[in-house]
Amino acid sequence: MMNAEKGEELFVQLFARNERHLRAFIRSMGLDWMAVDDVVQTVSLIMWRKWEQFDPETSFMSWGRVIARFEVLKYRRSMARDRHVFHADLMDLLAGAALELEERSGAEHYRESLEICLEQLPEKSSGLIKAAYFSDRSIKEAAQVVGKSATAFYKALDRIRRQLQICIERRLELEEGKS
Amino acid sequence: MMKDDSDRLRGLIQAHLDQCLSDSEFEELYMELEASPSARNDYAELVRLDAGLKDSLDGGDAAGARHDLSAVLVPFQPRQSMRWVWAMAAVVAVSLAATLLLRQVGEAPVLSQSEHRQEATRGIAVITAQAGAKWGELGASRLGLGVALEPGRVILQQGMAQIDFFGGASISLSGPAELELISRDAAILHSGSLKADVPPAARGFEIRAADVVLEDLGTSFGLAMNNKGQGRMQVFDGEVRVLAKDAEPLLLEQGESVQLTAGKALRQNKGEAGGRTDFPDIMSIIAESGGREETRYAAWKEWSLDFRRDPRLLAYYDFEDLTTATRRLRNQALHGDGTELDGGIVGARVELGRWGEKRALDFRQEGDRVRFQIAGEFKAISIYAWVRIDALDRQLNSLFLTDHFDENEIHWQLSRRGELLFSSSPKGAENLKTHNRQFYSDVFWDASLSGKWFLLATTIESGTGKVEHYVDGKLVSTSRGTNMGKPLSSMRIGKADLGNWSDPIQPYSMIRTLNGRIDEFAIFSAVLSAAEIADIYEMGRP
Repeated sequence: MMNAEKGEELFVQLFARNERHLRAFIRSMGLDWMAVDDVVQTVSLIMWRKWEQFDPETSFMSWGRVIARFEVLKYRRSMARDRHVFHADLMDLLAGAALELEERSGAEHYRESLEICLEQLPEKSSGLIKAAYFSDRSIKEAAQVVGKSATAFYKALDRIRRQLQICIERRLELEEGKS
Repeated sequence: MMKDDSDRLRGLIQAHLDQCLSDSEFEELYMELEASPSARNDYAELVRLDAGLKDSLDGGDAAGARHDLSAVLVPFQPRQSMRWVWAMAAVVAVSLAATLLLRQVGEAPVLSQSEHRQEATRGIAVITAQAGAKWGELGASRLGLGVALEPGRVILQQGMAQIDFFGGASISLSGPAELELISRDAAILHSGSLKADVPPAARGFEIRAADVVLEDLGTSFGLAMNNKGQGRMQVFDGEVRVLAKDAEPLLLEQGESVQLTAGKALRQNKGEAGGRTDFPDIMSIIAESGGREETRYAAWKEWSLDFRRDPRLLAYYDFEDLTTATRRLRNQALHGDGTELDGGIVGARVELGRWGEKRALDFRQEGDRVRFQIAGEFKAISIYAWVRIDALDRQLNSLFLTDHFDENEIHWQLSRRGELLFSSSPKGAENLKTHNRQFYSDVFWDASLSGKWFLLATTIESGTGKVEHYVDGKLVSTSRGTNMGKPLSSMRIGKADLGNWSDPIQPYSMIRTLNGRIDEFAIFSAVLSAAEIADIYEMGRP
C-alpha cells in the first residue's frame, strides 16, 4: 500500500508526464478538442479516485488508456447525434491504428522529433503554423494576422504539415537505425 | 492507392480534424476508414501530428504548469477547442472538388462522385426534345429526353428528336435514321434526314454523309439520306463547305443544294432543290412535343382518377395540387385509411414533374423527406414510384425506408452502382449478415441517365420470399443479394421516409438522402402482375 502523500506526488508526476499522450490517444478516436478536454478531465478524476487500485509495476499509460477508452464511449453516447462522431467500432479500430504507430516509434520519440523538426522550419513556415495552432483563434482570424486569404493559408498549412511529416519520419528512421 | 485518392483522403481527414466536413464528406470518410486499414493508418498519422502540434504550439505551457495536485484535481478550465470557422468548410469543399476534377480516368474507382463526373465528361451531346420518338435496339431503354449521348451510333426508328451537341450545334433528326456521334462538333448520318442549326460559336460543325464532309459555316442546312446510301443536302441559311474526295471544296450558299454519292458531290440546279418542308424542323418538333405533353398529362390524370379506386391500394400519392406552402402529401387511395396515411413534407421543395403541368417533390438536402406512418402487417407488397434520379451520390440512396430497420420492416432504395434494392430482415438490424434478405436488381442507372424519369417498381411476396424488380414497366433480373432463397415473414412499415432515412442503424455513417425528384408513389398490399406494371408505365411515361 502506498503512502498517501507519496501516492499523491507520484500520481501528479505520472499524470503530468502522460497527459499529452492521453490527450493524443483520445483525439485519435476522432473527437474534437473540446470533447478531448472534457474527457481528459473526467479521466483524470477517475484515475485519481481509483489510484489505489493502480499497480505501480504496470504502465500508467496503459491503465489511462483503458479508462480513457471507456470514458470516450460514454461521452460518445451523450453527444448530440448531428455531430460528426465515429461509431464505437470504428473508434476502436482508429485507436488500434494509433497504438500501432506508437509501438513502431514511441510517443516520446515522436514528440522529440516533432520539436526538432519544428525548430528546423524556415521562419516563415514556423510563423504560419504557430498562427494556426496557437490560441483559440479561428483559421480566418489567423489568416488575417499573417496577411493571407483563408484558402492560401490552408494550402500553406497543408504544405508545412507534409514537410513536418517527412522530417519526422526521417528522424524516426534514424532513431530506429541506432537501436 | 493513387496520389489523387490519397490526397482526397488526406483532405477529408484534415477537414475532419478541423471540424469542417459536410455530412456527406463525413460519410465518405467514415466508409473509407471502416473499409481500409491503410486509411486508418493515414488517419493515425495525421491525428498524431495534429495532437503534437496542438500540444507543442498551444498547450505546452499549460501542461507544464500542472505540477501540483490541485491543478490536476480541480476541474480544468475546459479549453476552448480550436475551431476553424465555418468559412473554412467552403475552402475545403472547393479544394476537395478540385481534387475530384483532377482525378484521371482509369484510376481505382473509390469515389463514385468523381466517377460520375468522368462519365459526364464522356458525353458529347444531349437529347433536348423528342416527339413520338422510338429509339432502336442500341440502348433503346436508356435513350430519352435529357439523356447525355456518348460517341457511338444511335438509331431513331420513328418520330423526331432534337440533339444538342456540346460544341453548340443542334440537329433535328427524323426517323427512321441512324446517326453516328463522333465528337462535340461532328457526326455521321448513315440514314434518315436531319436539319442542322449552327450558331456562330459552333461554326465548323461537321456532318459526314456518303463519305462527303459537310462543314457548316453558319446557320442551317438540311440533309437527307436514302437507303441506297445517296444523299441530298440543301442550305437554308448561311454557307456550307462541301469536301468531297479528290475534289476542290464546294461552297454552297442559301438555297443551293448538292447530291452526295460515294464520296462525290454534285451541285444541283436551283430548280431541282426541294423545299424546306422535306426536312424536319426544330420548331415543329417543339410544338409537337408540347402538344403531346399536354395530351399525355391529361391522359395520365384521367387514368390516375380511376386507378385510385383499386381496393388493393394501401396508399396512393399523385403529388398534384402542391404549392410551396403545402406540407401535407395527401393519400388519394379511395379505400383504406384515408387521411391517416397522409405524408408530412419535410424540407423537400415543390418542383416540376414528368410534364410541364405535373408537380413533384425535389429531394436534395440532408433533411428532405416525406414522413409516413403506415400500420399493419402485409403478406404481400407492391410499391412503385416515378423517380427522377439526378445522382446516386450515397452508398445507398433512399426511395422508401422504414425508420431504423426493425424486424420485418422493409427498405426500398438505390445503390451507388445503379441497382434497385429491396431488403427486409426477420431479425431487424441484429446480425444483418446472417438474416438480412437483400435483392439487388441488375444495374439500370448510370450518370448519363441523370435527369431522366423512371418508373421503379418492386413486388414482394412473403412466404416464398419472391421479390421482383421492374424498371419502366419491364422486369429486371435479380442476380445479386443475400439470403434470397430463405422465406420472408409478413412485412411491416410503421414510420417511414420517402427519399430519406430516419433513425439509421449506425447514426453517423448512414446518410441516404435521395438526390432527385418523385412525382407519384403507391403502395399495394398485393403483388401486381407484370402486365399491370407495364400498364402503369404506359399510362404514366413522360
